[in-house]
Amino acid sequence: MEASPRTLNRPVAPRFCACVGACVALRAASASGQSPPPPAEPVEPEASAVIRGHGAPPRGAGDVNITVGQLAAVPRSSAGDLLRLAPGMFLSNGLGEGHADQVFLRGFDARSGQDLEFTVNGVPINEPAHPHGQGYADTHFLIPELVESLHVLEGPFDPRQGDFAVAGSAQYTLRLPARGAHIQYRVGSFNTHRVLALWGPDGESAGTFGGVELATSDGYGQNRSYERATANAQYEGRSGSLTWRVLAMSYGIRYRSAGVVREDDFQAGRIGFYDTYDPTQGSEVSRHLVSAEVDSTRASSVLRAQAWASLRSFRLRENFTGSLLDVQQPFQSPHAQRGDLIDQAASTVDVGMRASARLRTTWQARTQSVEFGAYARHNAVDSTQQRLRATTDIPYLTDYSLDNSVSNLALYLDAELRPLSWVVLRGGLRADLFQYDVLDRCAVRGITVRGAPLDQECLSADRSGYRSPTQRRTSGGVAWQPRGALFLGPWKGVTVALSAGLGARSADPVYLGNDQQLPFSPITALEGGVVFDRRFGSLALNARALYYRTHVGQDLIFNETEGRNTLASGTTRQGALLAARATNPWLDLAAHVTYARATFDDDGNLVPYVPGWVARFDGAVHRALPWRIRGRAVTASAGVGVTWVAPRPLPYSERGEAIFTVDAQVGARWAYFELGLIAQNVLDAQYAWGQYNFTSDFRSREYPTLVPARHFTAGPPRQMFVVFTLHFGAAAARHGAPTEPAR
Amino acid sequence: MKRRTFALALLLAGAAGCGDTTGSERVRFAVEVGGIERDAAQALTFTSDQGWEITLSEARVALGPLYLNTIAPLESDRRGPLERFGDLLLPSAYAHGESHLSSGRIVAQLTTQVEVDALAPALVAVPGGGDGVREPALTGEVWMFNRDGALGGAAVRVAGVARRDGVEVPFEGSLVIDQALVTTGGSLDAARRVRGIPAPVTPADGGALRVRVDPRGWFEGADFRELTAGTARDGRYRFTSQDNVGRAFSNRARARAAYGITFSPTR
Repeated sequence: MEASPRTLNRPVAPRFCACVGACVALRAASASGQSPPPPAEPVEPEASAVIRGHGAPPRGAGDVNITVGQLAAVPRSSAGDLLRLAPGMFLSNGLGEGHADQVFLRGFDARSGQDLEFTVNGVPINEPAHPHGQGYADTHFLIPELVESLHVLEGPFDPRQGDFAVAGSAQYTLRLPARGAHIQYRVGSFNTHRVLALWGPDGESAGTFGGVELATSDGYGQNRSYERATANAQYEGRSGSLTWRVLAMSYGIRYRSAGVVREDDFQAGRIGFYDTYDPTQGSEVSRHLVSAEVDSTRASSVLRAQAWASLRSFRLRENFTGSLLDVQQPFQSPHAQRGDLIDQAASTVDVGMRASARLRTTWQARTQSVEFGAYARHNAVDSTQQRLRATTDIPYLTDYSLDNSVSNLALYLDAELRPLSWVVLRGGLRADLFQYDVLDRCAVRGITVRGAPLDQECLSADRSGYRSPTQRRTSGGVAWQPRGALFLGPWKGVTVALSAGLGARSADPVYLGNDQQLPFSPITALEGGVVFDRRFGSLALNARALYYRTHVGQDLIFNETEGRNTLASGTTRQGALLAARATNPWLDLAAHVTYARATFDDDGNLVPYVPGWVARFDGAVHRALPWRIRGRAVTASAGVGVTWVAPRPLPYSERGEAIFTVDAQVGARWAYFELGLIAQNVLDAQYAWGQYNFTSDFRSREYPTLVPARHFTAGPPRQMFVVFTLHFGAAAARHGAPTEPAR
Repeated sequence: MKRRTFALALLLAGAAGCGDTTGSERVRFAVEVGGIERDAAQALTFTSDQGWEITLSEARVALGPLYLNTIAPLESDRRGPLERFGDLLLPSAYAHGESHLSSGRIVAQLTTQVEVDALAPALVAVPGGGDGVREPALTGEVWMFNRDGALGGAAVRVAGVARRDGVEVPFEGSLVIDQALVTTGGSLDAARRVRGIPAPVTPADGGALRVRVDPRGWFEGADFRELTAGTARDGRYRFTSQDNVGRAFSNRARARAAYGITFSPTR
């Protein structure tokens, strides 16, 4: 039994288990896959929609509710990959299997997620005070087959969006509509093995599931191996108007990273495209999370409360610059360059809650509603960054060592008003209080103090005499963020949407000054567009076109010497996008193309690394084949995903190389058995996932090289996988049977 | 009408994003090296501060790598006494990394090594040239490494005759970059670097960086009489790091005055 009224009310579509995710993530094919424009009266019930954002009323033309649906047949290597279905989204990850995806959206280089607010079943994922970047968002702990839908709101237009919703927000909803047990084994290129077991007990809702995953691989090229284990489980219960969920997740990964390669070294044959300079690069990450939430849904109100707790550990070693930065300093004993291997570590305790009440009433025969909400989150983060001697684990320098306490409390008011049958106003006000308490355990560094011993990095003295090596910095401030959207229509499926909002990104404690008045970066966003959403018989068509503009008060731009994004001046982005998705019972096509132009406010220069044009096509087809085996139908599917990214601007007025990749998957299922073949990067394109211009010296030449050069992180070559899945349970027993529409 | 069309064109150009730059640019340029400009038909003869008239018959330098830096040259090199007095009253301020005490920022480089005949005024192109970014530099740095071949494993090799008061001292010697040059608290890397060579240039694509080696100051402070206490081999006295000539040569051959750097926007 499904949990929410919305789920109950949706048309029951036949399901097809083509392969891998198709079987387990496929849900009602009736959904267009993208958020519909505001529906004409009467308003359909939206119980859980209000609560979780899944199926929530749209907040702009760039608000998309992505039902994975049949597009699960398109190969994807992680839950993050699903973001490619959102218009304008481009992901890369050249720094290792477990490294957070680098997300590009609407002119933002949200390097490790800091410009996109991620939530999973309501739990925030971005990590404040993370040593690898404020707002680091790693979604690899999600089992992608459990992601039923993804709600991407591009821009800060919803008062319920929280910290880091600069370019927008992405809300993952985990469910398992395909009931029964599913055991899968994947084997393929580079000695990759993956075992997956999913379980959705019959008689429980799709919100009750369990999943475990174990994966290992040697990885492509050099130094890209990984070992990963993941467990995701949730129980969803219901009693009267109450629905409760308990979610538990656990994840650990150890991966190696090849890092960057200098293009001149590659061209000269000094290093291979997929090779590494420094095999000590890599990471160990773990995450353990529990969440409990309860909803009370009545005709006139929806109440919700959720609390979560999470423990995370993180260690990452990476080297972008070789042996360049360890310049002899007067307070150091004589030394040669010892190497620039950065060792970042963090241990985090994250607790939080959110609660909301949406009240509905009827006025002028139209439903009006208002929601009050509260959000609170506290992160205790112990973070350090050190430099290690080349090819060893021995630190020689501490960049920083912080004991961070970061709190974010927010209150918001959100209303939905329908003054006329063709006018909808949604929006309200959000106020975020950010509080910081940072103990800098190494406050005195890099100065010469008369009489001080050499090589002391956390001095107990400064030029005025003795002092404690520690120093505390505290700060706090409130960000007021009005946000709203106006919808006109629909007229024959066409809705005009105008949105505007202010957002905020909390400050990185590393750069925080004591008693800083505004410990956040203000964001201003505008958007206007047109959405078309109609059904033509069995075909659901959704298309949109929009223009957007976003200004960020203080941006974060990649800094190779820190291996992360660091503070920069203000920036402005504007651009436009076109997107469309067409779905019928056996075909699902989605495409989008986005233009973005991002410039610095002070000099008008382009923001480097941000792609100007991004285009993506996803297509899937699935049918029952015209023959049966032992009376059961054989069903087959095929999916293809195509990505094109225009050459990106790089520092020093250069352009990188374009990216063009094609992924494909075919599969067939008979009764309990399913077999699939996945090909990623079918054309075996040798492409650079990340491209950079900066200075490095990897000792690849006879003499040091000290001026900027082109670097890249290698994208994966062609990879082939065979996937075998066994399905158990009542649904599996019926699959393809004469009484079951097999499609 | 035309004005309206022009305004529309400007608007569209702005929207489309004219000036697709991220600031600065990478450049490649030629590098040419040689001795000081002079009449090549004549021997190079000069008088040292100690009154020795020195005629060089050999002066070879292993040049490279070479870097252009944003760091300022030592003030004492370019300021007059009045300016230096003024500096006492109102010290100069430097942007981060640009004072002569810090390491600065490299904006151009030559990462190959070539052998320069400092007695040959004709400039010789260095294969591969140099690269960098189009940003102003203030100083150059030569990092000295030993070289085989004609230099015989040294970074600088010199030979000639010194004359004073009727005394004639044929001499030869070399500068080898090794631990013997390392001073207390210093490092070999620091010892090999000739920093602060005035080079107020901005590298540009298609231009030529010209480096000239000037050996006329190599024997400042040297008294060649000390060499005559030893034994000449093959008619020449060989200086070493143990005598005053060798010590002076070791210091002066690593002095910024031994190099001149200019940049021509065209080859």
